[in-house]
Amino acid sequence: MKRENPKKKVKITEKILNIFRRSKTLRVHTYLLPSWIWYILFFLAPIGLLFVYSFWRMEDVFLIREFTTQNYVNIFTYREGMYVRLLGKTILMAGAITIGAVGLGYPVAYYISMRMEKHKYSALFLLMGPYLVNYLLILYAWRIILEPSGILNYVLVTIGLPRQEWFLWNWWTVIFMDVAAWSPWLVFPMFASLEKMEKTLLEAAADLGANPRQAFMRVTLPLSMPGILVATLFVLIPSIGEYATADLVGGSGGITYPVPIENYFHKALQWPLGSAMSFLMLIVILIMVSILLRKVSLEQIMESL
Amino acid sequence: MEIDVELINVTKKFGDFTAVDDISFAVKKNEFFSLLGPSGCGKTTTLRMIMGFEVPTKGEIRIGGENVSYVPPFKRPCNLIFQNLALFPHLNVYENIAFGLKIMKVPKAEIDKRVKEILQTVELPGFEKRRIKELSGGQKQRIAIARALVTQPTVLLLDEPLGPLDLKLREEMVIELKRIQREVGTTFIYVTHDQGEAITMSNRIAVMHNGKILQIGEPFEMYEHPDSEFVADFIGRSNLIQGKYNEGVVEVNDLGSVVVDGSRINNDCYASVCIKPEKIVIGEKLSGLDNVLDTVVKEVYYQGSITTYKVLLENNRVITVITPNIRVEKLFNRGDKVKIGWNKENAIVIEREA
Repeated sequence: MKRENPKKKVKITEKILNIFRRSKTLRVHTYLLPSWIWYILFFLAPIGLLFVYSFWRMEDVFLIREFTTQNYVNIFTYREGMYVRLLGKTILMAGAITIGAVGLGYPVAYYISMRMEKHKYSALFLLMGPYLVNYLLILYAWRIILEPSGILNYVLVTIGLPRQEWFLWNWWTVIFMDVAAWSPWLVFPMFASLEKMEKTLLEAAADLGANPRQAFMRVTLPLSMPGILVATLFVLIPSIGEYATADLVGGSGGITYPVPIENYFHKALQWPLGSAMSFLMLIVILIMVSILLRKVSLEQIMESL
Repeated sequence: MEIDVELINVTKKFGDFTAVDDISFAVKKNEFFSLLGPSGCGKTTTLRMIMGFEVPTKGEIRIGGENVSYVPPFKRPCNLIFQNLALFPHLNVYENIAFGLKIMKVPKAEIDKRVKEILQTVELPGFEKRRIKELSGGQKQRIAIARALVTQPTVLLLDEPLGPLDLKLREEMVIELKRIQREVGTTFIYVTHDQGEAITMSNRIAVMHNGKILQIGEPFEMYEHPDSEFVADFIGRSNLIQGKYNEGVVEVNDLGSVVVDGSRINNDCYASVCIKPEKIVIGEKLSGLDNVLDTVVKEVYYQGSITTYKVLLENNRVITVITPNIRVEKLFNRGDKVKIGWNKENAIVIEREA
């Protein structure tokens, strides 16, 4: 009897090892354990916490831990769907910011990649310049310029034109500032995918009778699409959730969906409603990302980076 | 004879560097014409000028009788097989081949038909839906050829397209290219540094060196009658023995006199005797030959169908000898004392600068 015991122990460890030997998925996820811990600790857990909050409710200053879907209903019904309209407006603004910033960044990326030889990398370095300064600082600087009593108006009045009140506190101010803030950054992924393109492909296109415009449409543009999509993701996702610009230069005209969220958390002590609104935003973003990713595979995107 | 491509006194300079130096040649219709030379000889620049990717500094380029020197590439009736093939990675085989036809606004049904036909010609039928990534090296070559031929250009230019292939595939493609050219009857201009490819495929070869054309002719003529040391050595690796020519004899320092056929050379000049390795006989005893020299075997390379010997002359010059292995009982070994010999009509004598 005594002799059989160690044998049994061996069998148990063997059994555990065999489970690992048999399942490749299990092995892979064992290797990924550190990543999983990071992912759970810093992303899933806090988000999960918010998710739970979004099904609770507040009574005065007390959190009532009882399940309710009232928060989600409230988002859609509050003031005849004001928040849904606000979310729609925010998405439209994010779309405009994306088109503006990608549209501005692409020609720059194209020029640096295709036309510049010597100073290619110095040019790219210069594009990082704006990010050496805190974005809030830039926003405040622009407030000084755009204010009704600001520099721009001072110039206008000096040369005899009427003072303009609409520069600040508008949705277009938010779009303008975000486009300006994002476009240099977006040059990088688009530059990368243009650089990756074999330049003889353009000669091949010309050789087969394509004029420069046709060559661009049929070769350069499709081959730089992964870079364009990465740039789109880079700007679209954050500009839906972007709060600082709207708060500092947007005013009431440029208010976006995250502004009331911040208010609910920060000022109104309405964490459950704020959480629910955040989750709705997350879902909208996930839907948009999955639509974009359908156009191009993840592999293509990662390769272009 | 109809001329398809003609270069008249074409020069191309990049800054101070003269890449192509006053060259002229004419390529006939349906000809397989090769530009042969070592890297940096100006052959690729010449090709790029014919394509329209470079503009000549001086001179004129004509295609089909028309001066195209300043016509942009997309308006020229010539297509190129790029060195790296330049197949569009985002398009499949069908879309790659159809690219030029779509630009030409050929109707869809016609495109389908022509893509199908050209895939037959390059022996890859049914490959329409394949991705470029999925193709092997040889298949990519064929698709590149199909893509360039499907628009029926006047001239097809090829820029060392066989370079990246392994030897066996290369030999296969050389034969394939020749067959395709015969089948479609398009004029081919082939740029290469590989004399073997050029000799096998071409109707005529132009040998380029330092931006100049040294000699143009049929492969046979180029091989048998090179008119410069460079051509003699570049096409088929010649043995060159330098000396002073007079009255049918070349006097070589530390070696003695070599009997040559002097009908194409003037008396009293410096000359090179050029003998192809396979025209030299090697043996223990040789008789009845115009020239017989004593040598020592330095290296032996047995290659199956042939054996290559490197032998040392009395003046310490190395001579390469290639012998066919017909009924060989034994090979010579390193250090063996052997004689080599040849008749004067098997060697060429070329006048040279002192």
